[in-house]
Amino acid sequence: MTRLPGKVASQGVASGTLRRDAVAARSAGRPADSVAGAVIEAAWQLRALQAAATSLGSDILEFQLALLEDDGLVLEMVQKGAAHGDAARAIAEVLEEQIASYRAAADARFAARAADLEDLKSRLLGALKGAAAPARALPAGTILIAEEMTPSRFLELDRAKIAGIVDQKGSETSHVALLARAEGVPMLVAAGPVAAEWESRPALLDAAHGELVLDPDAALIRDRAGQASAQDVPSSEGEGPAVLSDGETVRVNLTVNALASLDEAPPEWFDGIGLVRTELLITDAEEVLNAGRQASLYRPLFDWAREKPVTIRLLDGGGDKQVPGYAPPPGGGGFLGVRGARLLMRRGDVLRAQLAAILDAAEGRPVRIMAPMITLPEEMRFFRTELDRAIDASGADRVQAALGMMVETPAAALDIDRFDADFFALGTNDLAQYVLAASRDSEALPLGGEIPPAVLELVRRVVEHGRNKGLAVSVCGDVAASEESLGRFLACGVRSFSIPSRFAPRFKQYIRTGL
Amino acid sequence: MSSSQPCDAEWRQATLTVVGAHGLHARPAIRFSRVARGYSARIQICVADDARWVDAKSVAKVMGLQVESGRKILLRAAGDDAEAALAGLRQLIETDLAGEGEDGG
Repeated sequence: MTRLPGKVASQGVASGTLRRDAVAARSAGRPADSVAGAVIEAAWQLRALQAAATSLGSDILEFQLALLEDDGLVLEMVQKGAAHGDAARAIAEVLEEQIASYRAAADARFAARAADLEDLKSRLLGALKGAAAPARALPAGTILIAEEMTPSRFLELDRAKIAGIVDQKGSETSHVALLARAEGVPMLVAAGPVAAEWESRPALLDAAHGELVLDPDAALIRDRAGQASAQDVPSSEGEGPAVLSDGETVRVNLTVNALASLDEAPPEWFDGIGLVRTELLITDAEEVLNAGRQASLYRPLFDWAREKPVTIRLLDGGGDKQVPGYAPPPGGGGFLGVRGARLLMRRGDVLRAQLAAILDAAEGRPVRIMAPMITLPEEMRFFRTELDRAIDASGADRVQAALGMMVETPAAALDIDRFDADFFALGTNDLAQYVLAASRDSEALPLGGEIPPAVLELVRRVVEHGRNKGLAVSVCGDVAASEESLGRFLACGVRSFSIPSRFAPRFKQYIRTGL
Repeated sequence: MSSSQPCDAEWRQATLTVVGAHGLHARPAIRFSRVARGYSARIQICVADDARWVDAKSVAKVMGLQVESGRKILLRAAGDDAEAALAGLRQLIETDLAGEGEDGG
């Protein structure tokens, strides 16, 4: 099974057949022969799409229509068209200048609007080219591979046939991501190039874990789809505390893989944020080093959580995780090489930018900063020193920051009392893989979804250490969301979990009833 | 686009603060430029600490200012309904758009 990671723009799991989106020229009529003709044709097409769209779709197209009504903008295109004697060049020049200024914007919401301008540009250029073959009819169960999905293209598609969308570019804050969420179409963005030979092959689009799996086996499809159907439980189960039959309360925190998931997570369901996978939030190499831009990524987390604790994991790059401008490091990294904390310690510039951004975004509200993939006690001493320095450098009057560690290596779990940490989070996916010497979804071992006792033994050690010292211990691996594993972790004494929002109702129901 | 370039003395000016959660981004900018187009006066907008005046009737120009929530903006209008234009846009910014939550992204 080959995997392609992507960012989750719209949550959901779908299996189907991969097909490339072939955009046919959109105009059914004669080609427009001037800028003005193309503007009229494009406006007509957009109004037709708008008429068939939901109010959200209609609102999104409104921006493109407003641009076509912008006399200044249209006049500039018309004048350039006359000067060049080339309508296509005029449209491209004027809109690309706009697009460049949007892309350069510091505000991510603003930068995401560049996609709407791209969308409009291709529609205007399409109107100039005129009629071509009608768009290919898509068979049902299509997982669509897009170069860069646009809002108007999305609205043209026969969504009943689309199981999901993999966008090779794009961002989770784009308008098309918003449309996909509203219509419940699972979608991954920023997936990078999809190889030509993947076309027409079966695939599993897992827009919960953020990956496209080529040629998935039946067990994997069942497992992932089963996790997704956990949301069939009435959402009212998500409300209120999760209390075990013996009266003990289990803390349920939110795992954030994409900022979009904050919109779907009612804050009152959760005790706070238990894990933010910051490596999935970073969009480009510049952002890795830009504390200001990163702070604007983290601020919504604190706004969502109000005064509840927000646990932010420092960049976990390397292994199979790519981060633009950061990971994998030169020479690879790999699962047994320079990844997680090891990479952060070699990239002081990146670490300092991220610490500054987190403290800036927190503005004195409680924040728990967590180091990934810790193996040795001296690594935590390093992070403690760096955090203290960052707090001094921030000059803030009030800082409520705790430093914790991910327990994902057997060395850390076995030696847990030697680490200087204010809290612990068990990364059960990696821990299991390092204990078992088998990769996460390896079929090399006949485990059948069970967590082997050796892994649970390590979990128990860490939980016991936390109890003795009065330090919080939580589980934040994906396995926490499956019921069999949840039962095992509860039996080990774990009383705090971090899970994606949509699992919460089923998760709390299980804790309350054991069923 | 009909009125001719007025001399400075004809401009009437207003200063206001953008309070909607999303500043003058997509949806608010569309509404703003549409309302501005409803007046025959020539209307321009700029961000308070910048001096780039742009056409308030152009959604591309208004968006291009990237006005965030909390920023002060200046409006100026010249023409027959200049006073009414400033009052109408003030009402839009300070009241109608103040309650805007999502701007669609």
